Amino acid sequence: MKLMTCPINGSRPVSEFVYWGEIRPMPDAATCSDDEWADYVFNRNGAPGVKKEWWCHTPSNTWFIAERDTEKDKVLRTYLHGEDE
Amino acid sequence: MNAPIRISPLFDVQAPLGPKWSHVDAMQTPASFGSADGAKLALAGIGDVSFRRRAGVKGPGAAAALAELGIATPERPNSFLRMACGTLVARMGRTEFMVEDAAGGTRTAQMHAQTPGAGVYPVPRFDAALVVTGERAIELFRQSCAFDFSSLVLPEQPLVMTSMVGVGVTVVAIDDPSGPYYRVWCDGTYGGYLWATLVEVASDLGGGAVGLEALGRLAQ
Amino acid sequence: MPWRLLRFGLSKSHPEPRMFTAHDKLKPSYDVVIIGGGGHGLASAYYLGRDHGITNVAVLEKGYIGGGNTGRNTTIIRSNYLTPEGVKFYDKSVDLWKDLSEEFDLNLFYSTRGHFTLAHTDSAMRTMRWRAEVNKHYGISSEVVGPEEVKRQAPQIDLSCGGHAPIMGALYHAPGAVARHDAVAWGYGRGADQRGAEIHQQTAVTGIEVKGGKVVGVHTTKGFISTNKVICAVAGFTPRITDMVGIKTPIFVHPLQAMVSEPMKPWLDTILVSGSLHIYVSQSARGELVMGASLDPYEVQSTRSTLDFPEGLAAHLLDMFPFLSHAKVVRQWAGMADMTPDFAPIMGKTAIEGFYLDSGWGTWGFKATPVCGKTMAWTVANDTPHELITGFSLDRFRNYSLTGEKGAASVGH
Repeated sequence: MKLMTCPINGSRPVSEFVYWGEIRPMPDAATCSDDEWADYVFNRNGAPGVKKEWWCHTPSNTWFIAERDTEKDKVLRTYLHGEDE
Repeated sequence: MNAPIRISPLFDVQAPLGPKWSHVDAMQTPASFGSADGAKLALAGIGDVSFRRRAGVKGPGAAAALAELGIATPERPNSFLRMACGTLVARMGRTEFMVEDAAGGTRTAQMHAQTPGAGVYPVPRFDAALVVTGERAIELFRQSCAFDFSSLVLPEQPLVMTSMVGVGVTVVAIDDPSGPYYRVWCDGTYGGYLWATLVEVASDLGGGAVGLEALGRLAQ
Repeated sequence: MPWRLLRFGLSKSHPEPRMFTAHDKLKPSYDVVIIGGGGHGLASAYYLGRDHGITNVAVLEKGYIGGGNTGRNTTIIRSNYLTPEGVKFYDKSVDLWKDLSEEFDLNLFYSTRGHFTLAHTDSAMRTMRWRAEVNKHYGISSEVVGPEEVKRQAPQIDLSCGGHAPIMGALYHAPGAVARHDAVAWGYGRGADQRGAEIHQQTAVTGIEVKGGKVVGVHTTKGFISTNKVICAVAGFTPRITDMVGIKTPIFVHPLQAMVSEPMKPWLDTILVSGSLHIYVSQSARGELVMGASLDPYEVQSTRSTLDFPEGLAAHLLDMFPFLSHAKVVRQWAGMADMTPDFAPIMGKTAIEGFYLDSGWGTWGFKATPVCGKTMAWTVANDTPHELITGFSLDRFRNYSLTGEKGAASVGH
């Protein structure tokens, strides 16, 4: 059983969480070009690395950020949005 | 016109067992499943207290809004308190609360009547609410949930949100002179499945479904 | 053949030819370099030689051939897809499959079993009818059947699936088949080798040289090769290769796991798939049940497997076949599935001249091996996308014209 640490609820089995993908800055839809928007909508960084991702602890609906090595599947740290030092 | 206005989310799974019914807070609820209720209660009893009236509120202004109504709030996230009037106040996360009336209580009615101010978001609650009790309750949880309930420090009045047989649940552990017991809430639409599954596991442990008569004050 | 075996054993010079020529060194240049020695890459090399006379070809494989998703899938072959593009494409593939054993002079154990996609809900039944109509329009054997037909072909099944997901019907695809997956890689590899292509195992690509928007060469762990044409057929490693040439793609990588049971007497002749229970199962020629489920729930670029997977899969399998409660699982593994947002592959030319993609094959690449090889070879030889793959170009995302192949793997979406 793989564990994930929710910043509010503590260490829980990963089955209590959903993964919502890498955090990606959204371009301004009003000013960006069609190509920039398509790039944002579709393209992904599929190569391995340490990524900042959205995760949610579903029983409590707590959304937070996990920094995870996507090749080793190792979570380095987790924190709430806006609490990154 | 004395038909119950409210239907327990567990009604459909309870009715085939043919319990003796009672009406509490205008909800039809099993009073007894038979003479073995007391023995089951001592080992692993599952009771239905969905009839309790409850209301939720969240947002940065939620604690202040509750204070305005004279409702106390727990200091820490993931804990609960019981007010002198019997009202149960659960704090889930930093700015989310659930309030459950004691018998005849009117706190939740006051919450529903309150006009939400800035940063206050009422959360409608349609929970199935269970009481889980008995000396083998911890074993029941071990078979149905990955969270270790024996790790809880009861005097801290802990609240846990986790997944039980695949259903998202909120659980509080209550310290009682007769031994610890637990209150479990889940979304009402999953209630029948959660109840039936827990009752099945409890039956293996010598327990099972129990009615309000056996629960007595534990239904508070 | 004991005498032949004895002769082989006593000979110092190995009279039986090896499957492939082992090459010590890379040549300084090739007409085409194929990255990835899986089924797709080797088939591309084979058809480049057979159909187009292009034999100065190197296949670079960082591990061993067929060691990636070619050897990690559940060997199912079918063509009952949902979109016209998909149906035509996979039907061509099924046609090619049937003749492969003879063409290779190698037994692929191609075995037509019939393939049921079970429907447990009204909406699933609607999708099955839709798929059946699209399939029939293109002349593919595909029909909606009732639960009694499922029961007739798999008498051990519990049609109520434990009471909570009763089977309402199924899409039945008679040509559905299984084949021995590593033999496919070996067959194509040997065929390509015989026609002059070089297969270099233990050779990893470390960079791709691009000048003026054109491919000019490939850096490898065994030195630099100059070439003007590169085919990238590396499944879950695709983003690492496209990063080398600076191409962005929508590909994301999730592990896809599978497992097999201990061997048992033959009892399951057909292939069963259930989207609602997230399971597909067939019985191999060895008697093992080969089982798969949906993708892992989050991105990982490695082939680690988890305990959650056999637990979940076993629970669902027991809903369908309660009598298997004492069967043991003997192996489990994972492959890296390169997924796309519309569940269709990404194939053909790219913005870099001479860089061809054969990717986005996620959970459905094995069955497409022959037709991929054939169309990729044609595309590279003519530097124009083959008509069967025009709907799969990388450009479709920039143009917001997705293909939408929801019939892709039947499980997980």
